Amino acid sequence: MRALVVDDSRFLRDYLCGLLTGWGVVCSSAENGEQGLRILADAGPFDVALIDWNMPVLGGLEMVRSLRSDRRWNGMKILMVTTESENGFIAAALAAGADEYLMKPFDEEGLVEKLQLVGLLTDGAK
Amino acid sequence: MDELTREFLIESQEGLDRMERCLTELEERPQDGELLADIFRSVHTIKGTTGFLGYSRLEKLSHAGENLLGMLRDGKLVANEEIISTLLQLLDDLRAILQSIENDNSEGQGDDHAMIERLHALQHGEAVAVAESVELVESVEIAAETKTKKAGKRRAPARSNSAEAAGSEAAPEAAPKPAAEPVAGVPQQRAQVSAADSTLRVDITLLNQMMNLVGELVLTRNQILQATNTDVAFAPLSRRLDMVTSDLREAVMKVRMQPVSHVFSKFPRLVRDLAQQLDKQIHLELEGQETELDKSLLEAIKDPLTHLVRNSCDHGIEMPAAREAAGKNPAGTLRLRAYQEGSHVLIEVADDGGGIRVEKIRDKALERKLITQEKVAQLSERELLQLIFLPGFSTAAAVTNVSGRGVGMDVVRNNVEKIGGKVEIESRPGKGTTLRLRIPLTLAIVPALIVSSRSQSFALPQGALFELVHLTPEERRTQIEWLENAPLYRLRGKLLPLVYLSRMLEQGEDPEVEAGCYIAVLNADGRRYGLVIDGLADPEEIVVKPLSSALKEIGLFSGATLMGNGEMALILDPAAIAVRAEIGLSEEEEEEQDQASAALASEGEEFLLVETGEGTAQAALPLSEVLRIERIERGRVEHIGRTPVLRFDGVLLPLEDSSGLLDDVSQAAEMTVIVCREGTRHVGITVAHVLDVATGSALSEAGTNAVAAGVTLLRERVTEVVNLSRIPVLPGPAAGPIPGPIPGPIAITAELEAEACR
Repeated sequence: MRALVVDDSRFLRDYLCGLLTGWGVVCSSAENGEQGLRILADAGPFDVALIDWNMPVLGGLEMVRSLRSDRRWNGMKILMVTTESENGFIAAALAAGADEYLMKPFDEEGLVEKLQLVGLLTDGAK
Repeated sequence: MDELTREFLIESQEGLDRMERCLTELEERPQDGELLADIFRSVHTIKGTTGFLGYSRLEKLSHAGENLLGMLRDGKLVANEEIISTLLQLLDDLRAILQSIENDNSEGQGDDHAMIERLHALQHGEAVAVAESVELVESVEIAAETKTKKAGKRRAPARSNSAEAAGSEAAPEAAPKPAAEPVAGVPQQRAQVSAADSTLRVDITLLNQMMNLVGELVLTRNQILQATNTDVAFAPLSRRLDMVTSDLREAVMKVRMQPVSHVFSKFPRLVRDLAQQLDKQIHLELEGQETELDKSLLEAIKDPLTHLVRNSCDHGIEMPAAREAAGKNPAGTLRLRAYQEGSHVLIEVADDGGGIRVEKIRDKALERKLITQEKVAQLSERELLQLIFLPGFSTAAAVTNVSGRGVGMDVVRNNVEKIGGKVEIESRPGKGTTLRLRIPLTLAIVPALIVSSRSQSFALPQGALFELVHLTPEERRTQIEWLENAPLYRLRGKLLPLVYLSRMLEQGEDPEVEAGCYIAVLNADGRRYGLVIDGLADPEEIVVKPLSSALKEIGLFSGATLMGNGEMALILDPAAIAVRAEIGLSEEEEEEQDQASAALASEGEEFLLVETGEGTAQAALPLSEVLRIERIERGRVEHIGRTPVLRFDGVLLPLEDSSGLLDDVSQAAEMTVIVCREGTRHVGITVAHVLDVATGSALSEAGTNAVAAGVTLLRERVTEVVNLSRIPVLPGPAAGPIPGPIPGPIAITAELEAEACR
């Protein structure tokens, strides 16, 4: 399984990738939406993209929109990573084509739960 | 502390640094959307990550901040003075917590209620302390007004908001919308941010280790270069090692370079806060922020520089009323400027304040018994100014909490000198004060001249070296004058106090003065003197090694180094020697230089007079273009095509050999090459003899007013000026300038004199 983590916080990229690689997931990361799209173009497809909401250059919502307008990435699951202050935006993210959302802060279980919800990481892969 | 927490701390600190920069910019452009988004993101990221690590204080505080910033970003609220001040306070609080986490992994005890309340209140458009904010608005409006007057193009920011906000909930609507300003700084700053994205973090200890290794490599190269002088077959290999080492050294040094903006960036905030505290109006100008300096040096000047800025704000710039009374703009200007000059970076802190009153300094020094009445009477104005660097000196009439924290200028000076730098001060009453830090580009490797005294070698840093004078045994007996046990030499009509290195180091009494000697004319901290030494060797780039404490106690050495021949040499500390020898500050030096340059301007250019071949007519080289005079072995000259070249300091130097000295087998094994600057490259000229330095005057061709090119009148003789540009350019990159510090024209006098007595 391959995952793309897009977040402008180094801490969060490391945290997420740390968890994911611990489960044997191959992880790539980008620090904004534009870089994320570039990595996808170069190294895609991925099974799942975990995308932060608020990022410089190209934000999460714009990135989701761009992803969903490109048929190449149809099979890729998108998890929107948000904080509760962005609660109101979850609907927008889902409308734009995100499959699930993940609320910061989350722990291992929270991440596993959401990944299972979108049909990845099934049956005690963890 | 685990890796993730460390990552979090670094990232958060960076975010807060960025936020601080943006906030001070926000004052100028309170509605810049991009700026607001940036600030929001800094706090948002902290808030978003604290939850993972369970730092609840941070989370609550950053959450409250995020809410307020969200409203600003979405245009539901317009930033005013009060909001910005509160956000800056929030920034300090967040920083304090991060610091506490870094120290002991706990958020520390602190009450954030007041801050959170304040943030909430501002969110709802309530001014927290109405009276205070009105007062603030007034003073700011004055500042804004004068700024508009001065800058003309700069609009007064809409800061009256807080007053309106105090009275009405509908502040945002009521706020006048300042038009988007055409500020040139914005795109530039964006570019900087993205440049930072493409960089890599490297552990500083690793970098230090690399620097040490490169230092060792430089030493080994120096030794190999010397060893291969005798073995021709080894030459190409050692040449390659030489070049690679030089390149590597430069690359590693570059890695350690950081723009001074890293230090400058905190001053807008500092000056802003100080101005508010002191009720002054101060306009800060930053210049040359891209100038780069070694990271460790940058760290080392942070505190001294901060102190100077505080000093200028506190004591330099006057109160607005006093300024107006003196016919000045009520808003003072503080200018921070960084620029590179040769192998030094200069950083100036200049204010247009009241300047330093010399009488005040004198009285203070007397009052504090730092100097005696008799001594003070002998001091010039310049020397009096230097008194502020004495320990225990403070010019402030009252000890304030801005700059009077017991840290005086002596500490600033010590810190700067510790890293091989200097502090210079200039002050004009009523006009302002400029303090200048002169910092070496790097510490690890310095150009030095190897000198000897009683057949022991010492390294003399070239930074302090002005010129070298050679004395023959005869001259040594006759030209050194003694004034009550103090030796003096008359250098171009001026008396120069001398210090015998051998006596200073107690190397035993002089043997009967049979040999000649050299006088190294030094200037250390404004003390000018001649150091008498027995012999000279080559200039070398030395790697500075720290001294053991036993040697340090002697106090005359700043370090030790390993020379090319594998021998150890102690590095002389010219300033410490001057102090030990009780050499006074020299006051005429500047005048002298002024006079010299004035004389030059009136009389024409100075030339180095040479004979390019045996018995040929004399030729002239513009002295300003002459870098050094080198004695080299003929065997070292190689050829590229038909052009003779010389490997010199790691690069190839094309040689001009107009009289065929190279092919003349009757010549001695050693020959003289003059290294000159020609445009951006360096070239060498073979000469048979170096004759003198003389001032030439221009000649005009008969019948025309045009100045004849290529000739000058020297010593009543028409002399051809060597045309450096006709020396062929070498193919490839080797034709570039010689990298690294080229020792200035210091070697000239000595070589000249040495040459003259051969």
